[in-house]
This record gives sequence, C-alpha cells and structure tokens, in this order.
Amino acid sequence: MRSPGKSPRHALALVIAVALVAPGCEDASPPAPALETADAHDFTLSDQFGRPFRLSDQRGRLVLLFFGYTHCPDVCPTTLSSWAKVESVLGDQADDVTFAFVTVDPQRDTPERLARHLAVFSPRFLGLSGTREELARVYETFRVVPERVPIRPGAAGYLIDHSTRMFLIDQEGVLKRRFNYRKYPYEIAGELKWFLDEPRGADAPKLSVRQAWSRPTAPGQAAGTVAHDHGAMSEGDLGPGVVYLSIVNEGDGPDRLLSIRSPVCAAAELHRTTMDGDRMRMAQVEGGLDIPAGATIELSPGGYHIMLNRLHHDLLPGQRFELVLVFERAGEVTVQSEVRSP
Amino acid sequence: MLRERLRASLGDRYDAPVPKATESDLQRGAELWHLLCAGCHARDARGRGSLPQMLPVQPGDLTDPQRAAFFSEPAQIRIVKEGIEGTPMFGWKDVLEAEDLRAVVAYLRTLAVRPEEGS
Repeated sequence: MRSPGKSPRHALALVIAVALVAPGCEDASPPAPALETADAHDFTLSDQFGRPFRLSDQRGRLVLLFFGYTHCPDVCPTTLSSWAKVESVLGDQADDVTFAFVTVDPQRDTPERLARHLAVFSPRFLGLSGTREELARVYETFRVVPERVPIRPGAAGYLIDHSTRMFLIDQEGVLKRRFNYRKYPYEIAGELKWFLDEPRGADAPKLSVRQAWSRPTAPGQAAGTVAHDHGAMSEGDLGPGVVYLSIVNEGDGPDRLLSIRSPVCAAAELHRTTMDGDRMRMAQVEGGLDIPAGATIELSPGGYHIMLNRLHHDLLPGQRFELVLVFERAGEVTVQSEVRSP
Repeated sequence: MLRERLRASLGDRYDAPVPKATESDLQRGAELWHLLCAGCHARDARGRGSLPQMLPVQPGDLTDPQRAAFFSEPAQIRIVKEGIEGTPMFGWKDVLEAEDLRAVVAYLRTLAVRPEEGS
C-alpha cells in the first residue's frame, strides 16, 4: 500500500502511480528469498481457530502462502478472490492445498476478524497470526517488510505497505515458486496442478523409471516371425523390439524388477548383452534384476535391455507406447516409451 | 433485510440530518474513496473492473440514484463503519474516524447525482 501520507502534495503523481502499480499499492518488499531446501522456511504460528500451524506439518500438501491484512483495500482482496478462483478450478484437488494468509497487521487482525473476513472468500483459507516475535521471524524469512502508513498525516488510521507476492511450497517443504498477485488464477491453478498431478512427498514412490525409449522396427517386422535365438548377433539386428531406460531407487531399501509387460507385444523379457571374447551374446536374465537402495540401473545398448517379443505392430519413430514394470516392493510402475533412433 | 436492521439499530438516528459537507470534506472524502474504496467499488463507484468482478459478492452500482436513495445518509455511514456481514465489505471503523466516515459517504452521494439531473 502507498498512502497519500507519503506524498500528500503530489496527488496527481499518486494517481499515476496507482494506475501503473495497483490501486493504492506497491510491492515494498526487498528481493524475495531464494528457492531453497526443504523446510528452510519453516515457522509456527496460529490459525484463526486458535490451532497451531507449523509449515513443516504440511508435508504432503501444497502450501500457497500470502502476507496481507484484512483492512487492505486492494491487493489482499484481489489475492483472496484469486485464491477462491484457484480453489474452484482445482476442484477436489484443492483438498491437497493449504491456502495460508499470514497477517501483517496483528494488532487489528484478531483471530475473530481473520475468521470472519476469510470465510467470505472460502472456509478453507487459513488466517495465521502470532506474537510480534513469531511474526517478525516469519517476515524476515520471507523478506516481507510491513510498514505502517497513516491514511493522512496525523491520522490514527493506517494502511500497511507490504509484499504483494505469494509463495508456493511443495509437498516436500521446498519453496518452489513466487507469484505476483496479479497472476491470473488459471495460471496459478495450472502451476499447482503440475505439483498435484504427480505423487510427491512422503507418500511418493521412491522408485522411478525414467527416459524409456525404443528402437524403431523395420517395416513389416512385427508381422514376421523373426526369432531371437540368443545367439551371436548385434542389437541392431534384433528382430523383436527393444527398450532402454533408467531405474532409480531413491528409497531406503533394495527392490527387484520381477517382470515387464506391454500392450504392443505378447511377451516382454529382460535381457543382457555380454561380450564373449569379441562376440556379443545376449541372454535372458533369470530371477529378476536387483535394484539396490540408492542405485540407478541403466538399461542401455550393450548392457541390460528389454526385449519385446512377438510385436503386435511395428514400432515407428515418434510413436509412444505403454510399458509396465513390476517390482517386488514398489509394485507396478507404468511408463511411456518413445520410439526413436539412438 | 439490511435496511430494516439498520433502522432497528439506529432508531431515530436513521433519518437524523447530517451536517452539510463542506468542500474540504468532499475533497477529503474523494481522497479516501480513491485510497480505500475504489479497489473494490471502482473509482467511479459503478462496481466494474477486474477486482470488483472477481469478488465473491460483487458490489453494485453506487451511482444509481435509486440505490443511493435506498439508505439514509446515517445508514450509509453505519455501513461504511461496520461493514456488511458475509460480504467482502468490511467495516472501516478501525481506520476512519467519524468525520472521515461522513466525508466518504458525502463524496459517494455526490457521485449518485447524474450529470443531467444535476444540471
């Protein structure tokens, strides 16, 4: 907020500034905090119902954070209205989002006032406050610098200059995004959906399959009966399809790849290429493939790979198809494999 | 209904005369309007614009003479002071002193007079 108390002799300048920045507001905060590691911005305050609110307790949820006050005449109602739209766009996914409004005006923003005001916009929105010391720490963490400005020189009534940014903290407690309050609600919702659509946080699987790709087959190959005889041949001559990918185990324990299937073939098998002298040999891997904790296993040309036997159709460049990998602990992991040349 | 609640609350003061605003009052009322009210009600008080349209309860056209005449001036002052429960229109009593409340409403009432009616 910019009060005329700061420039009472320049009403025209004020009007121009208002038009360019926001109705009576400007972002008075210094540069926003960097995007850092998990819980680097942790804090504890209280919500409008008297319940403690600790940011790190929100793990597994997205948190949208804004600093404002209920007597704010422009930026804050804009932001709260925007949040209400975001909530509507997200639908059921909004259940996994915490909308937290931290007051920069603890003197006037009592819990009762926060409750009454926020309920107008959504019963889901939380209004957070705390002691001066608690709030000062949060302001410092997020580099918010609230500044009281009398509505006119000598008046007791005041507005507050404050940051106009909102912050997005992901399910793992990491500050990921900063939005200007004028960002369109649909854009904010889109950003949130990106985080909501992929499982993350404590419940996210710790094993992932990445960068799956397949060699194209020769035209008509799928209709043929080219056998994979496990004999001496190069991978480029493979009759069936072949898939390469990476398996990353970020969990605390080992896992094992047990089997593979895909709708594009009758049978998928894990094979390994080895060198026998100067001869390249390929053989099916029996008993599954161990994925130790913390390991990344590459299925790549010249090593492990997945054979797609008895293809139902050719694999043409640019196509994508589904591949399901079954792990002992992580269960089924479905990926899309892209058909392309190496 | 809001008007009836205000009548009950204000009693005889509902229709009590309000001191005529001076030019100075109107000027201060205009400044306060643009500072505090225009964000949600629009500068021309017609309730149009990006924020007014986003609000969960959208403000009406306060320049409509019929709307302006619907509430007495003391009632409008009370609305600005206490707000309207369940809407984004919160009360300004912690920001505006009595003379400022009167000044804002006095300025707002000047907007309700259409040019052709004022001529």
